[in-house]
Amino acid sequence: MRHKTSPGIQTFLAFLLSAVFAAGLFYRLSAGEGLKMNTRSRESIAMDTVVRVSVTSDKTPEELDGILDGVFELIERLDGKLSMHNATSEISLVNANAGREAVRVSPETAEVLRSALEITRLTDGAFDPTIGPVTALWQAGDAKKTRHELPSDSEILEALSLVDGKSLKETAPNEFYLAREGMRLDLGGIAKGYVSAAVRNFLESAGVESALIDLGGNVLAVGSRPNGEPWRIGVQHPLQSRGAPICSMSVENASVITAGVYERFVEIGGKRYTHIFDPRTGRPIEGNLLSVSVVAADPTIGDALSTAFMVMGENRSKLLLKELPGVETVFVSDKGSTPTVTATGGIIGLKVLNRASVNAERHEEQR
Amino acid sequence: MRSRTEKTAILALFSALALAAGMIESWFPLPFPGVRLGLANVFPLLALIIFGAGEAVAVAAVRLCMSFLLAGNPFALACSIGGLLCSLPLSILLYKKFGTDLSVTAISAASATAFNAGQIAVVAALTSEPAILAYAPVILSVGAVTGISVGYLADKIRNRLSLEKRALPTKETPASK
Amino acid sequence: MKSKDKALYLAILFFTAIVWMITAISGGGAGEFFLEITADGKSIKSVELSGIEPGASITLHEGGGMNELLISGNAVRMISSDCPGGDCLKMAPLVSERGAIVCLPHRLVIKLRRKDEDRNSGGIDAISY
Repeated sequence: MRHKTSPGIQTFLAFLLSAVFAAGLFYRLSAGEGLKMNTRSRESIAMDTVVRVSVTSDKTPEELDGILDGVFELIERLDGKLSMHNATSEISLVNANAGREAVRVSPETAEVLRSALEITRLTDGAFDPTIGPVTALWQAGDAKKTRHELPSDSEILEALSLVDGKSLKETAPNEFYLAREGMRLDLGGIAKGYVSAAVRNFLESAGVESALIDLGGNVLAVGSRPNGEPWRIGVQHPLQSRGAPICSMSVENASVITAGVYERFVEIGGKRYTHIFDPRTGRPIEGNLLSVSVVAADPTIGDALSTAFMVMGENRSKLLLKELPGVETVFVSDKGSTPTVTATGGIIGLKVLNRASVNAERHEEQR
Repeated sequence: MRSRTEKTAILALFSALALAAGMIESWFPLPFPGVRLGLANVFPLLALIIFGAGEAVAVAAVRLCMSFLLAGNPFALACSIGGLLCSLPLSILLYKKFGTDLSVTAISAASATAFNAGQIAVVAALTSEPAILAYAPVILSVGAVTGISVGYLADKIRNRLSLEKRALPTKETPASK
Repeated sequence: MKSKDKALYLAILFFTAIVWMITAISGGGAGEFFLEITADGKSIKSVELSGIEPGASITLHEGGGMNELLISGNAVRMISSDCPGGDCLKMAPLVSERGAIVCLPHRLVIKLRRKDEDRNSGGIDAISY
């Protein structure tokens, strides 16, 4: 009997084929939809930083490219309204008319300004969109105009007198007015958060359910990874090179926005001063906080809060966090030889990496 | 000459026993889920020396599909496929070409080594973690010992079957005639 | 033993030796362990062992009780627990990926893991800075 004529083998082959078929069916059912997913990423310079957007959906790569075109157009358009470096931006117009008249702005700019004022109230002025004169005085982050000596006390007081969130008023719908001449809006601590939220809304209306938006380190995770797992987002190690994480966490539909002393600084007389200023002292912040990462569903809030928390310090921030459900935080502080990571209880899947110590206590803020 | 029914029954029995052996060996902890010692490979080997190459592939494939359907572990399935892709052609080749000069035990040892090499390669590729290759020498050594035991066992079973059923072909007639 | 058995066994031995040499040279086995603590099936934290000072202890408040882990070099031990029975105190110290320290009453599982895909940032999608 040759086996090609053997009905026994044929029975086996038939059985084998049905088993393979059943296995394939089983796998397909267990793996969820069998649709072909495409991913497109684009990296470009926008808003004076590196912007990276990656989108995944069942659309064709060409359609996704079209969506990415729209994303970068949107970013450029919003930056044109919100940048204080651009003399024709709406923010520059409000600044130029400080103490003179209210300026009518677009609904988008109005939304950012309203959010900024809300966070100013919430943080009791630790975040202040009118910090402009202080930033300008220290020239942090501006390589062209480096100072050689520290600002004098009187200079700081003068700049500080122009920092007052309460003097920014919405006099009529979408019309904003800075009460005194010389006041200057600086939305550096909130604009990127707002723009990433706008990008998310754009992507969602375009039908993209899984995307990662990285606006110069302000990360917004839309949905989950294409395979359904949560996104893994790292937090920059404050003492190591860019790209080396100190810890990582699982994130879905939330932004991770970090404010850190290492990010930008101004060097005066050989000493480095961070670009984060305390709106109440007019000086760079002090204390042992190296960075604060805020995890929140709304990146506009997250961006402003990360700056505010740096100003407030760990303890005061934690008090405020109790009143902010859904906002989680990772503090990285300098407490000896290695930076210490302290995360609030709602951070999921925290991993501490790269020679850092961890605050072993689990916090009680958990629901 | 054996009847078709008898052959079908024996091959079905082999497949079932292979499935059972595979489940039993999964109770033994190994560094990676899905990596097997290859105890179950005794049955494809038996099919090879009693019936032929096609039958060996059939027994291995049926076991593979059945164990995947039962356990639903795609990782284990991938491991086994990787292992079998290496071990089956090697043992068939060795048996067909050098069957007269090689004992079943030696063929089984070689086949087990190939099986484990294939498995490890799949795990390394799937996890993209080359560090797991550190386990390779251990797995290969343990696997070779298992392979020798499996070969010895297969040889004994074959002899037993041959004694009881004189009609069964001996090793000189690998493909049924 | 048949005529060519010896040659085949030698070939197997040779192959294994080569694989062993490759892995020995590439040092693929070396790697740092991560201490992973899960409570009620959820990962609470994963800490690089080398980041913890030897002799340091980690106190956990999970499952309505207290557990204390001692880290000494590459070994992790449960040194105190207020769980009934205290079975977790009797478990062997963790030195490798094999095994785990389990405190059933507090739903705690402590394991060492070698692989951590987040460490070389390969498993991280983006870094916030």
